[in-house]
Amino acid sequence: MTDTNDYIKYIAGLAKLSLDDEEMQSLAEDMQDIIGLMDTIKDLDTESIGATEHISRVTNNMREDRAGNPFDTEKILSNSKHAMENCFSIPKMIE
Amino acid sequence: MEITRLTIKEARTLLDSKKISAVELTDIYMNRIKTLDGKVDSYLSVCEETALLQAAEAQKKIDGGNGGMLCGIPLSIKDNICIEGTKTTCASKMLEDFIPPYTATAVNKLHSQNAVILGKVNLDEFAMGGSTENSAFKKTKNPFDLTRVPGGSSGGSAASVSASLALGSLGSDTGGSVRQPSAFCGVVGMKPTYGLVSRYGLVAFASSLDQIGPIGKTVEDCAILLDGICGQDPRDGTSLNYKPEVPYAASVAGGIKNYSIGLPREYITEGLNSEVRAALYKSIETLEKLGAKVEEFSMPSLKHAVPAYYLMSSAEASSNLSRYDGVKYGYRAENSRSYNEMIGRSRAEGFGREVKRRILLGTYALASGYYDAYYKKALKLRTLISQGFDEAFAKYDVVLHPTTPETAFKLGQNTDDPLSMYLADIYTVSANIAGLPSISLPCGYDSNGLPIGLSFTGKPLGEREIFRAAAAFEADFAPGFRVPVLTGG
Amino acid sequence: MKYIPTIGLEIHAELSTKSKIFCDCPVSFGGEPNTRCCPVCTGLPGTLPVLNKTAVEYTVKAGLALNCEINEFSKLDRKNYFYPDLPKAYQISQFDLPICKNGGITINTPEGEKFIRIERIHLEEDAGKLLHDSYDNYSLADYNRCGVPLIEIVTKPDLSSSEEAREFVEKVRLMLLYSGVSDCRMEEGSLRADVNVSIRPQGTEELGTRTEMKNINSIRGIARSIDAEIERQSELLDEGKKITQETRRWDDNKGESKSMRSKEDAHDYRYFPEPDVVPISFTKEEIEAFRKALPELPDKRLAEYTGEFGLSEVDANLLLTSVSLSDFFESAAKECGNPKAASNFITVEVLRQLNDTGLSAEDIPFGGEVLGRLLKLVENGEITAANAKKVLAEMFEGGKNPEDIIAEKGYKVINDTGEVENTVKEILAGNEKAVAEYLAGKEKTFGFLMGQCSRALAGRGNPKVVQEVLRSELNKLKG
Repeated sequence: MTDTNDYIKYIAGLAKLSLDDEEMQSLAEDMQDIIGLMDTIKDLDTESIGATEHISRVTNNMREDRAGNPFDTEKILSNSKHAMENCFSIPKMIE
Repeated sequence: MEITRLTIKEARTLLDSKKISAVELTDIYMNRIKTLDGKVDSYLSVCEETALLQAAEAQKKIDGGNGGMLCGIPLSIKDNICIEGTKTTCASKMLEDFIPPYTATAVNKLHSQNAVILGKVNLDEFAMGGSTENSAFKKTKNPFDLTRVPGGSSGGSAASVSASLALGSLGSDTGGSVRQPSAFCGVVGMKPTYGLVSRYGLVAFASSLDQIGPIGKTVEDCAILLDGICGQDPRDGTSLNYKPEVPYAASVAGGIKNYSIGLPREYITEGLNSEVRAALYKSIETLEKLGAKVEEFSMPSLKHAVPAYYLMSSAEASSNLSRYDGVKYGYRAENSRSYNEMIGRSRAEGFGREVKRRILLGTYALASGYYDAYYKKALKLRTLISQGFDEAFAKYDVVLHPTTPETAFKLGQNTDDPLSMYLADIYTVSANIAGLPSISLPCGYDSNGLPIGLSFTGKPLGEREIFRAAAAFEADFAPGFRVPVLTGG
Repeated sequence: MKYIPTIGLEIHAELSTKSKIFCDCPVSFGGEPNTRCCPVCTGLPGTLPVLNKTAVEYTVKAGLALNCEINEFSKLDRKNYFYPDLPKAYQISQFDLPICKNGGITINTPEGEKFIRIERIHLEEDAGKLLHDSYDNYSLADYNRCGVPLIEIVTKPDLSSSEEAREFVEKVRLMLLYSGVSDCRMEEGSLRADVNVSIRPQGTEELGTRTEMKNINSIRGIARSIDAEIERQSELLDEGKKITQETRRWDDNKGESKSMRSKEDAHDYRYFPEPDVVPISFTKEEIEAFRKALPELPDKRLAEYTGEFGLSEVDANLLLTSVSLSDFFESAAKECGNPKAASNFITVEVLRQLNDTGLSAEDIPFGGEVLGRLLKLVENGEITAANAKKVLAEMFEGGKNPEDIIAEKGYKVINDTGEVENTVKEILAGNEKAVAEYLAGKEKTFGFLMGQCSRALAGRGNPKVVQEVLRSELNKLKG
């Protein structure tokens, strides 16, 4: 089962969830059961069936190219406790 | 006026005939919230000041003789639907302080019809769950039994209507999140056809499945609310260019004589509780008595609806919830030394356990090497299920089924058992998968006095048919309709 | 050469729509941070993208200009990755059904014409910008550029040198400019390219390991990065070392590239169909209508300029470097009826004015037809070429018609022989010495006398007439 655990670790990394060992372990256990349920469809033969990507079956619902007024910068930043110089600040990105 | 049995329709008559003012009506609900919501815990925030202003404004409209159906009607809104300047938390620590600078289109429509917004109600975090226990802030109780869950994820919406802490409510339904809590709380809840109601301002869980839906005490109330919120929205590219010619509320009556109703055999499983099963068959007798023809039919693809639903919804959720990275809004882990540490810790600390499960499942379903086996397969099942319904609706006006396999369970009973929670969604998820309208209404009570829900599912844009079927059933059931007994103090 | 390079390009061009791809925020370059943003393009919860119709149409036009097939059915997909310049943590792009596919253009190489295949052109949204310079401990995110519509043009690995790459990008740039879908201002980052390079020893068939350099925003940079990368890879192979498949960052100032630390999850983008945007579909008729409505492209113009108009290839290409200049030339040529004369005047005098004033062709304060009127006056001998230049300078100052300037300054050529005769006689009378020399057979003196006459006529004399009169008056003196 450690293969699955390693894979869940990889998935958590991909999803940017920094889980501690304990939480990782218990979530991995949950995932075993859940993936077991998902696996019930794995072997169905659906070769000849198309995938439904949009259920509403409409196309081309577009808007005209008209420029409106942008939002106040203040409002855009209003939910950030870390705004600086009208920007969202984050720890320094090292490239 | 018996407040616990008051409907939107009746309140309209009282308001229009000046038997009560909009402010008085709002006051009544505000007082009930103050005295009773401590027991139910349905509200996350109460907007007393703005509600009273809205009520006063509504009264002016009524006095001027130009109030519409929803003018002065006090409603609650699920806390994943944005209202400008009002906290919208999604019951998540992640959005504990989030105040959107914009309003959802559905709520804007309510505003423009002078409805009164009493406050924002509880839900499972990001609408993921079926008990409202996944809220980061409080556990809402079932008004019929305060030791039980109200269902979810729109548990706050259903409980607030059931306990008469609002005349109606807007919830959201991704896999049954309006209908299941409505069934648990003994009220009427409906999920519209995908695209009938704008999703703009509804915090996305699974974009291809989410719909905002109304909850009320009666079928007609749901139809009135749906009339108030439906219609194409230039801000939602998936909203349909459709508006009913006649308001839904005006077409609920008419009966179901000669209606052809189908019951999918695959839904009658061992998991279906015997009391719920008995209520279902009793309901079928009623429907036949009312002149409908009910028959069983087979739709084998329904057996795979639950895994297909969880793969699709979780895949979309994993992407929709990626924006909560601590950069622009929402929870940010303090003292992070790097961007990667900040985002990883913010997400690990800001999201609850069920949300993490779904993110992991969804990421898994989309990850390279797994896409075809899981996500793509789910989309193919979506085709199969959709085709199955197409065939059914060639024969039947509506499809009938239980809303849930069981009635409301005890608080805490299923918190560590995600799998049985998922499996309990068996009857509701297929309407979302196929984008169909579906309504749940009370059809009986079990030996514990807990409500049992019955569902009608219709063809795309078949709202009228399901409202009519539900209304006909409801009219017959009305004498047995119960409201929970809550005492203040 | 010991090694044969194989080069592929991914060119990103910003579309010149008025508004962003999924919201109505205005698209323009620069500006204070986060002043061209709204809840949609900053990814606030609950907001939804609504596709800009013009962005889709521009993609189709670009595809047609670059000889692509247009998919009758295409869709948008989500490309999932976390980066602070991407507020939704996914980019809406296109994965398996791009709007355009299977195109290509012919470029000129020293070995002759070569067709470079274009695999696909897809539509996507741009990301924001991170600013790193203000603080030691913080980076700042500005989302003005988020949601600016981009097309990505992906070539097959058909290029084999930096010169070919340069030629290709130049030509694609022109095609995009002429089809009116992008202003391709590289200095503003509205055209950028990712470059894929591999090399293989002469005489072998199997392609070598390729590396990718991202976000190069000048044609010169593209060419330089390719040369540098070919050299780097050649040195490695010469030393018997292996080339690692990686993404490298090109530093145009240093003229070298550096390996970017590979992120462990960088390549698992978890693409899936974008549920918030319904698919795009076209009928065959709609695609044909787009094809018909496409503006005349530079290829066709080049053929016309060098053929029918008789311009040199150098002049033709000079005029074609900008749509505005080319349009300006065409209306001037049409008005004056002499494309060659229009070309000569524009490539020398107008370009000189642009150079002196620092304006670009879009900013010329008068239309090509107005210049055409001036050139027609020169053609008809109503104003001298020398004065036409002075008129042009005044026209650049703005506001005035050539006709008004000519009238005001009295530039109109004097065609009245009587007035010319009087002037010539006066000059001859005042220059006895020169006249004597001429009469003694010193032919050169004619030029001097001609100059004196022109000056006296203040440049307004029709040179032909002045010449005739002067000749005949001198002949009279010869007696």
